[in-house]
Amino acid sequence: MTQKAPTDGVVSLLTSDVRATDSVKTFENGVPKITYKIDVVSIPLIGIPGETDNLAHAEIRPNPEYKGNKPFKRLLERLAFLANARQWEIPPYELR
Amino acid sequence: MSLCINETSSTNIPKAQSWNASLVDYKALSQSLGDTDSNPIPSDFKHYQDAQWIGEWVDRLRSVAIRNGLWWQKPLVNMNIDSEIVLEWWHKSRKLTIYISHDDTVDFVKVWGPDVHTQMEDGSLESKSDLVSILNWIAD
Repeated sequence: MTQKAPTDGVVSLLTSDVRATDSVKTFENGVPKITYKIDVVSIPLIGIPGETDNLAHAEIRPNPEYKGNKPFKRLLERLAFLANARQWEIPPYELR
Repeated sequence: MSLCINETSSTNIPKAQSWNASLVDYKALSQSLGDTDSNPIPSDFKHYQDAQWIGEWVDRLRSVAIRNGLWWQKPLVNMNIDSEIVLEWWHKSRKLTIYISHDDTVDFVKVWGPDVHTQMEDGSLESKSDLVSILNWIAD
């Protein structure tokens, strides 16, 4: 994760951990309807007005694109678990 | 789906800690959010109005919890990139997140572990009994 302000905390995720979330499913009447594969894609940020270039920038993407945001919310919770397990890379200002 | 959980009676609600206190808290929240460049505040975050909206929702939820004798703790409050209110509670090993959209659709995610299939459950709140049920769950 990128620190945007000096007071911000920074957490990290391993791409291997994120990709190991190999599927997020939606169900209809208990039957799996759509299975999403989760991937991490390198998206360097270059030449964006007002932003510092960030060659390390990446996005976490489902395949196919989410239909509805409930699976995405469950994925966010899992990512929070993964980040918590790795502790702070840089603690936020309040914890320094 | 939308949820209406307005309470019409104020019996047993300690007023001094209800609406006014929440309004002050969330006004401060909106000001702090507006004063920093470090948070990706949605462009339509209207600061005071949104803080007021958040305060109203928190008070509604708190009212239902207290009226039903349920565990209650002030949630961590945020707004996500879709301009939904995000309310989060942690209790023991459980986490409850409630998402409230501007059309008053209310979704929730219950989390008791990292597995998205076996340790999380999501859904929509469609009645007051649904809300009582998830507040009971986080209180357990």
